[in-house]
Amino acid sequence: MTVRTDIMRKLFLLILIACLVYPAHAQSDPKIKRNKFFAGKEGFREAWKCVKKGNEFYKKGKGYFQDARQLYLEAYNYNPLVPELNYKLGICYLYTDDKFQAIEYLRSAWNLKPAVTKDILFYVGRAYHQVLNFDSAVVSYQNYLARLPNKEKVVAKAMIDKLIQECYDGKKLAANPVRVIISGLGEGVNSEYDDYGPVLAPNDSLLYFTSRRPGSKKAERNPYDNKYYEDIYVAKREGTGWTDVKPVGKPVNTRHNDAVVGITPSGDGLFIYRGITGGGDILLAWHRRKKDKFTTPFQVNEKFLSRYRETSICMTSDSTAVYFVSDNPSQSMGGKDIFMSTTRKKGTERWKKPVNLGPVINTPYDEEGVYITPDGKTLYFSSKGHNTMGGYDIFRSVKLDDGSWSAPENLGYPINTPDDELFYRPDILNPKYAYYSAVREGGRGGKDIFRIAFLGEEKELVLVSDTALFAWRQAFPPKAFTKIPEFLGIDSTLVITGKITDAATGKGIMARIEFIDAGASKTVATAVSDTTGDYRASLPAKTKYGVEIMAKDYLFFLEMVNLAEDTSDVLFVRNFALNKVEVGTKVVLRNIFFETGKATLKPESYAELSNVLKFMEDNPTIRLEISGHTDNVGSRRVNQKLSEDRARAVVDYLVAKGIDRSRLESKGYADTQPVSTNATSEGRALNRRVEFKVIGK
Amino acid sequence: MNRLLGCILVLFLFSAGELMSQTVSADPVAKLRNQRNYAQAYNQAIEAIKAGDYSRAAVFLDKALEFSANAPEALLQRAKIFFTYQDYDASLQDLETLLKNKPETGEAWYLEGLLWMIHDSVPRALQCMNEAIRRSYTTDEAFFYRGVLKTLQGDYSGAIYDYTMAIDKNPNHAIAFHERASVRLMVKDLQGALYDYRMAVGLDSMFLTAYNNMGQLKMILGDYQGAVEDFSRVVRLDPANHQAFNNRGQAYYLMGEYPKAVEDFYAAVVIDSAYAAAWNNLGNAYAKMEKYEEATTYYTKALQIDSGFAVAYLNRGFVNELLGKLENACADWNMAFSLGRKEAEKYIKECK
Repeated sequence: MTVRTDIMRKLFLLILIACLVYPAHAQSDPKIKRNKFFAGKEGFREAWKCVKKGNEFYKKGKGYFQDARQLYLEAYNYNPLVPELNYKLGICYLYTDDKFQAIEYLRSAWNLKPAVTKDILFYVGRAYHQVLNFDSAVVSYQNYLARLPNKEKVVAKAMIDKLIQECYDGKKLAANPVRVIISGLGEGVNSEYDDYGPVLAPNDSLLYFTSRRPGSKKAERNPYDNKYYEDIYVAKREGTGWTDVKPVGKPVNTRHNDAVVGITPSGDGLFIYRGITGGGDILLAWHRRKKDKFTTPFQVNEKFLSRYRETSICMTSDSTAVYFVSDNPSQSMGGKDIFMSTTRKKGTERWKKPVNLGPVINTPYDEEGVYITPDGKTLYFSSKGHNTMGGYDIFRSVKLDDGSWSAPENLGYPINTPDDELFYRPDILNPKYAYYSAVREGGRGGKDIFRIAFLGEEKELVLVSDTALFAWRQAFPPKAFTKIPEFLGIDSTLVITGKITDAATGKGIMARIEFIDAGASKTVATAVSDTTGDYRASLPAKTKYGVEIMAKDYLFFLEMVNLAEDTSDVLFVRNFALNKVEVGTKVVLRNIFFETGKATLKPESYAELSNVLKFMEDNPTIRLEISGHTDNVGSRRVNQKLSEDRARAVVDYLVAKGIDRSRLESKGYADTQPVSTNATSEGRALNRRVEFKVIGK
Repeated sequence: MNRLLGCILVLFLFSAGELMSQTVSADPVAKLRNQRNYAQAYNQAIEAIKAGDYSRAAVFLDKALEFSANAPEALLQRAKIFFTYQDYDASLQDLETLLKNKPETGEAWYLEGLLWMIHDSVPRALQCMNEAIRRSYTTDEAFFYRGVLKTLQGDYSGAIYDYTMAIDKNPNHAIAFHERASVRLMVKDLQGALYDYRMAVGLDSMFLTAYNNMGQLKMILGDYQGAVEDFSRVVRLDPANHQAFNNRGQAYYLMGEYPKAVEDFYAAVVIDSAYAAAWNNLGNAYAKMEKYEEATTYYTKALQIDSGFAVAYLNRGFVNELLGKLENACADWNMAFSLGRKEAEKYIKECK
């Protein structure tokens, strides 16, 4: 025996002594005094009867608390202010179903009379513990311990410390719940009585379990706990559920407790626990398929038996190893432990002496409900030790490469609770599921069988939105015309073309042509005719132009051309004939203007005079007579003087511009040389003129 | 001898042709006359465009082009008229003719770019927009649409640059702000995106898409209340905007206000009973309230509307798992995976 094992054994003994000396697990039975209970004549008699009857049941123990509770509640309706009654109701609820109600009644008892019992705070702590109110449970436990006399405190401390540690472990586990769905197997499998110990056939088609429901009308109750004797039942799988639940019948089920605790790897043999046999032994019954009956159960190999209790057994699928639970004190580390035996030879019954799995697995507290996976690598078991959060919790350990076991891992909350969780069996065909026994919501009463569905990691639901991220399509396509296009400028250029010829011979002559916008008095185009006399010029608009043509040895030409009257739109043709400079040739200066009745030249005359000037400069030997003419309106004398003065004005202008006076003569002819009739105003306008005549070359 | 005559004939014909062509092409009067007629017809077309009478304008432009075939201004305006009347092929034809002769016409490149966008030919459209801008057609719209094209091509930084240019040209370009915001969102510049969305709605208070997107961005930034306000605005302006209800429902959902989320998701499906997204989200809200059976009915409804709705399969799988229906959950995840939700793969592994 190792040092560690020795320490464990001593610790167990200490705990055992503590439990014997100070039965903290055994609730008190405070007396309800009649005179304290009395609260008025009406209803007292019936209520007191309920108290007395309730007390009878209460004394019998936990198995009768359900009956006691009903009676105490009747009494409570009569007088709710009796601390002892409140205490007992609290205890009844604590050991039946509603732990919250237990807290209510126990706290009421405390409030009414803190000294109602020595253990009131202990049970308040137990109730808080059960509902996962770990902080309040710890406080209650500590207060309970603090109020104990020193001698009792020493004895109770170990147990209270254990409970407080369970609270701390429970708090950690509850803060990190595992993702599982735990659901009861439903009506049929679960009843209003205790149902537990699920054992799955290897092919998953059958479920064996133990139930304390009445198997028949003659079913008897175990006087120890007032519950019907255990019997073994079987259910068939149908889809995800179980149906066709029925007892396996004789010879497996007897008048006494018969519980299923395991199944052979082939599925043909059921391991059964019978309490009356050898202090509590495991038996084996074979299933005969043809007759669908079991053989009479017989004790398993003696290696797995002792005069103590063996309560659970499991084999690997190759039948080379067996794990079982025993409370043999000579080999246990404390209470029930898990043992293992291997066969000397596969397929034989020659088993080696079982060995305790050791302190990694076993604790000074009870281990129970062992299960080894078919491959022999993973061990599941329940334990009141390790980091249980209260009662039995389910643990898992894996076999390491060196054959040792890993530190057991609590399967976590909500699989485990402060209540007892036992007989864990994974679903071999679908590892996402497992089965076990527990007392929890979703059951039908007492212990029940549940299925655990292991969910994966936490998953986040995905929201969906479909608003378009981009908006450009809403305004697409855009307008093509974002602004009005500009007008095109129209080229109104006109083309004027034609021939300049000698007036006498008709031959073309080279000359310089100038087009003057009559309105603007501005030269807008000039051109030079070629030797054939052809010319071309571009004019800006279809309007009136003055045309001046100069050629050497020819009199200069002055004429108005009105393109507006022409139907053409682009091209205009105008031919001009020039007269050679000959003595006697006359040229009428049409654009010489004077102030009315005077010989003062108007500025608009200067253009014409410039032409004359140029003509004389271009022809330096030319001598001209400048003559003034009038119409016949007014006196001859006045007209004569006027015509002379006007001629002289022109000469003076030319002389002032540099022409030698000797080249010029001025004469006034009044109305003596008309060129048109004086009878019309047009004729008279033509007659009012200035001329020049070539008088020498 | 015959050969000599033949040569002479050829020479004569060639010369005549040359002379004729010279005469025709060199006839300035004819040229001038054509130019004037063209300009007159063109200006009449512009008058018609001004008056909004595009069909009349088209007649004048046709006439103008008779006087001056391939005249760029006329081709451009006619291309615009074709564009307006959605005769995109004709528009494209005119533009291609124009650009063959006058490739420096930036506006023509821009218009052609739009046409390629209409034809969903993004690379070609982008090419045209690049040409337009290179040819100095640097309007806000040219930059804007080039930005759009760059976005479609995944060139987000380029797109941001162009949207910025568009905004520079036209600071009131609400859509440019919006598009820039959305691109900024894609490159994870969340604050920049928020700024731009704010500008967009500041310029256009009826810009519902901007409010919706801004609200969604606020949800990412954790400003759920701000998001609710934005979506509420959309709902006020457009009570039939099922997307806004769906969005606001999501904001409430993220705030943990599941009953309000349910109300909004429900409103969305009342407006549009085929709105699969909202049915899915309704399922989520019920799941959060641990009403798993109801949740699955809504996911199923979403899937009835859209059998390829991978997310609904995924979510229904999650809820089936919470109901302990692991086989159903695995079947749903397998569907989700086959429909493209790759994350379902790790959940399917849990099934094994």
